[in-house]
Formats: sequence, C-alpha cells, structure tokens
Amino acid sequence: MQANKLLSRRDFLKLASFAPLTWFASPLMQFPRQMADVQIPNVIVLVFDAWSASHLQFYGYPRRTMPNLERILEKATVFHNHYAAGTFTTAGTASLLTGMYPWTHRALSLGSGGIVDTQLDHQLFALLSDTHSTLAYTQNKFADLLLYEFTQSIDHHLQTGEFNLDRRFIYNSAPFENDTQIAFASLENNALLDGETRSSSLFINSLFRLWKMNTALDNDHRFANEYPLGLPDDTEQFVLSDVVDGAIRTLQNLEEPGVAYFHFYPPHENYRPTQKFYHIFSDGWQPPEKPVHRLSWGQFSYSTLNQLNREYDEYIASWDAEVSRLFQYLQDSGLLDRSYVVLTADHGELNERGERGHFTSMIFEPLIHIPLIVFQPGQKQRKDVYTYTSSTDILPTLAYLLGKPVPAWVEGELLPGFGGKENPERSIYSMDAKTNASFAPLTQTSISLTKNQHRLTYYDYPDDQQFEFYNLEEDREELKDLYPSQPALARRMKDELLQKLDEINQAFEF
Amino acid sequence: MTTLRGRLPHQKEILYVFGGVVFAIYTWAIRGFLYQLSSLRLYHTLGEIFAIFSYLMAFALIESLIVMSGLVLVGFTLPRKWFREGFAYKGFITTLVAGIAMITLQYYLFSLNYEIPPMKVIYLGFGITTILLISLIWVFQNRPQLQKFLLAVQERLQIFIYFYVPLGIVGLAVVAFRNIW
Repeated sequence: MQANKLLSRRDFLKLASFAPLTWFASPLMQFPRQMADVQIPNVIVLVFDAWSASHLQFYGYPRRTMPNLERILEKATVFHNHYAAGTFTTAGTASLLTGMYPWTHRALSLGSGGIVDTQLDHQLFALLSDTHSTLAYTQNKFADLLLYEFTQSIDHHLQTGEFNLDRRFIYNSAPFENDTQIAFASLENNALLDGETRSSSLFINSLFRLWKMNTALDNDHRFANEYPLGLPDDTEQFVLSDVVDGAIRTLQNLEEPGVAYFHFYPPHENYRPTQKFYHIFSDGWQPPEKPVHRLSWGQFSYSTLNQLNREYDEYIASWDAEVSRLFQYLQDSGLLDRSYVVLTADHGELNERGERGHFTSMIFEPLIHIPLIVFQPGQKQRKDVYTYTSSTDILPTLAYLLGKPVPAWVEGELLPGFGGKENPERSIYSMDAKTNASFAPLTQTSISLTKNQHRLTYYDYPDDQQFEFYNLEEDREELKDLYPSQPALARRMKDELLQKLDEINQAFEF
Repeated sequence: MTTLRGRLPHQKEILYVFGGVVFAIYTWAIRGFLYQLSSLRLYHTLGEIFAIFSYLMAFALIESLIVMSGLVLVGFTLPRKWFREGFAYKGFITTLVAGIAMITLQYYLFSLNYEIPPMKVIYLGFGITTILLISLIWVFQNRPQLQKFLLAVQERLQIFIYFYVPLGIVGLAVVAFRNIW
C-alpha cells in the first residue's frame, strides 16, 4: 500500500510518457563503449595468392616487379625469411588462419576436405570475434571453402564473385550455403567439373563448359585492349581494378574495431598482365637453369618456364600498379594508423626444375619463401627482420598485439619485434601431403625443415624416399644437394625431422 | 488441348525412351562417383561420401528430366513423321548418339588442358553427330527388324527407371534436408 502512495497511477503514466526518450538515449549509452573501442586497433590481413618472395626486388630479385609496394615499405616491418607452412592454397591458408601446421589442422587436400572438426574453433576470426567485427573475402574457391568452415565466427562473408565480372560457382549460391563443402565436392568438383574426364554429368557438364568458354571468350574480346593474354580468372573472370575498387568500398564500411581478411587471387596462374606491363620484362635476363627434378610431373622445358616466369613477373607488376590504390586508401583514410596491416601470401610459385605453378610435391625456395610485411599503427620507420619465421606465427602475434592470451593450441611463435625474440636455432617446417589421407598418419608427404641457413627436405613416398639438403646462405638457388656427402648438420636435422614425423604420427597409433 | 496432346509422343513410348535416358545418365554418374571414390575416402567421412552420392543422384535425376523434356519438345515441335512417329526408337538412338558425342567432347576438352577449343572443331563435331544421327534414324526407319531389336533392349532397360529414379528422389530429399536444416 505504501508503494501506491509513492507512485500513484497518475505519476506512473507521467513517467511513462518519458519512455520514448530512451530511444534517443540509446546511442548515448553506447558512446562510452565506442570511445573504448577506438583504442582497439583493427586487423587487416591482405593475402596475395601464389605470391613468391623470390620474385620481388626487395627480397633480392633482379627485376623490379613491385615498385609501388616498395615505396610504402618505409613505414613497415619487412620479414626477409618468412615461409609458408603449406605449398598450395588449402594447406597454406589454413595454417595462416589457424596458426597450426597442416599435420594438425589436416586440411591436406586441394578441395573440400577442409580442417578437421575438432580444430574448427581454433582460428583467427573466432579468436578476435569478441572484440572485433569480422569480415572475410577471397576470390579463391579453395580458400572460400575454409571461410565457410569458419562461418559461425564471420560476421560478413563476401562471395568469391563479389567483385568479379560474372558469378559461375554454384556451391556458394543461396540454396547450398548451409552445405558448401559437400555441394562443392559434388557439383564444382564432379558434376560440373572443369577440365577433367571424370565428370559424372553426361550432358550438362559439356554444355555448361561450352557456355562458360563462350562467355569467357566474349569477355576476353571485350577487354582485349587492356588484357592482351585474356582476363585473369579463377573460373570466374575479373578485372584487377574492379577487385581493388571493391576492396576499397568494403573497407570504407568496415565496422571498427574490425578484422578484415582479403585474399586476392593475383598473381596466381593464369598470369594475365595488363597491356601496360606486357613484355616490360623482355629484358633478356634469365634465371639459372636447374635440372629437371624426378618429382616434376610437367617436365616443362627451360624456355617454357622462362616465358612463364616473365609473364608471372609482368602480372605481379600489373597487380602492383592496381593494388597500390588500396595501399593509398589505407594511408589516406587513416586506417593504416589505427590498424595492424599484414601483407602476405598463402604460398609461393615455382616455375623451375621442369615444373610450373604450385601443384607439385617438390619443395623449393620459390614455392615456400613468401613475403611478410607488417604495418603497425603509427609506424614511421622501416624495420627489417632476417630471422626465419613461419606463416603459423601470424595468428599468435595478432593475439598478442591485441592483448589476448596466446592460445595453447597455436604451433607458431610470436614474430620477432612483435613480442617475439630472434631465435637463429628455430625450426621452420613446410609440407605437402596432397595424396595422404586426412585421417591417417603421414606416409605420403614432402616435408622440409629450414634452420641455421640450411634446408633439409624429406620426400617420403612409397616409391621415392629421399632426402635433399641445401645451404641457403651460399646456395640460395638450391642447386647443390649436399645430402650425399652427409654433413653433420644434415644428420642432426634428419634426426630432428624424423622425430617430428614420429610425434605427428603417434596421434594415430591405437 | 486435345490438339496439343495429340502432338505429344505416346505415353508408353515416352517411358521407353526415359528408360534409356535414365540408364545412360545414371550409369555415367555412378561411374564418375566410383572414379572419385578412392580420392574421396581420403578426405571425407562415410556420411559425407553418402551425401556426395546423394547430390550426384539428385543431379542425375534433374539431368534425366531435362534431357527427356528436350526429346519430348523435339517430338512436339518437328513434323510427325520426322520424330514423333517411332518416337521410342528414334528417341533412344538420339540419346545414345548424343551421349557418345558428349563423352567424346568431355575427353576432347580434357585433352586441351583448360584451353578454349577452336569453335570450328565444335561445329565440326556437331555436324558429324547430326549426320550420324540422321543416318542411323534413316537406317532403323527402313529396317523393322532393327527397330524390334532396339525396342526389346529398351523394354529391358525400363527396370532401371524403378531402381534409379527412387535413388534420385532420395538424393533430392537428402540435399533438401542438408540445406534446409
């Protein structure tokens, strides 16, 4: 009864009339949180697909392939000996995003196998989603399949074709968005498969492919003046400038603090330089000729590989000219001053020893040596780091920089200069196990151990078990295999590598 | 309405052709699945492999219905004597010839390793297929014994409708289930 005296019905109605004001008060209530958020930097990860450090002038390549990027390195930390944990998109990207080696995340095949269920929460987006908005975009269908595995942690997942000329993928179309892995394995990788005989569709496959080829030809004709070798494509064709414009538009709407992951397809094969850069490297320079490797599937001639390398360089230069607008936007918008920007690759590219591209079992420098450039908020001076680092280091480093505990499941270490210390004794692994089952011990694999300026590579296949050993300081081109002479360091590294393999495979012993 | 229905091939003949279409498309689909099976089992669980098979069966059902609709449409559109008369064996021959042409095309496209084929080769292939198809239809039209033989084969192939089509329907249900829930 006392309460009635304090708050009569009339008083209550008077107070209720103020209720709509709470709508205006709502943004004010959020203000302190926003003020707090301003202090938290964004994370922008830019990945260029199949981007080899061995083809960049600031890593010692004789051709000046990326002059625009070189200019902004004056405000960045450049890692000179950074290595991809995987040698192709699925394994390389998965290691970058999880901080784990392929033997742990088990994304071993090129396709829909993906990361094992038990490791799905161990990734960049999940790690930062409590403090950051998360945005992810890739043009590469295989990387896109990984992003679909992380879909619970990604607020905005842009489609592969978002900035492309056309959209041809079915697996990521609306009806299949809940089941992309299986839709991909069944449709893109089987019924509507490109370039293989084993499609399971008798009529629709060939007709669909002819239609795609026809539209591709039309688009190539339309852009013939700009792209003399045809348009760049990963099934879906695109124009380099459109992709950069799209990325800039997306960043303009970034919800801060945010994590933005952009995985661009260039300079991945097919190399399609723009007219401006086509033939700019017809300079007569030739890389050293290397013997055809026994694991080379293609057996391409030296002259063919030279031409491919030239086109690859020209494509990198074309991409540099376009993507420089993105760097400029990051600077002009101030994003560079309030973000950690990581620029790297999922894996490199190898046009040598009879092989082209990166669909190979071989492990050599151009395939695993990738760029890593990190911009810190407000960084004014360039730093150079020469210690060996791994693509598995990026996730723990970002966690550390954003004040989060480094997860126990991470296999990488903190990058030197970003919480980590230079460790010349550190072991860096890179591997390929495309033909190995995801659920079984590693018995068909190429695995390399890089440390102390040397690399030991173990090719472990049923009909080919061999070690190769190179001194990277004196023989960066890996021309002289020192393993037959059995130096002491090679024996020690061999023991370490075999012990590591045993550890990995112990998890499968019952 | 009666005129329109009169232009359609007879229901029994449609069923005869459908048996051949289903046999060709599903058999090719299962062949494609088995070809990939050894690779799939390296990276997918048994449940996922079953789901992939379901997708392929659903796809084969849709493909069969599209091809069958195309044949019926041809019968509906062309003059009666050209295709609708003797639809059962003409439709079957068309399915076989077009199927072989598509397999050849798949192998040819594969041999090019992702390169775009010259259009004149495609037109030439289309021309050869058309001539072969017309010639075969002409030969069968003038040989009732051959027609009887084909019809006997088709009659036996109809069993596949009762086996494959339900597989396709189950596949569609699995695909729908996985994508809706």
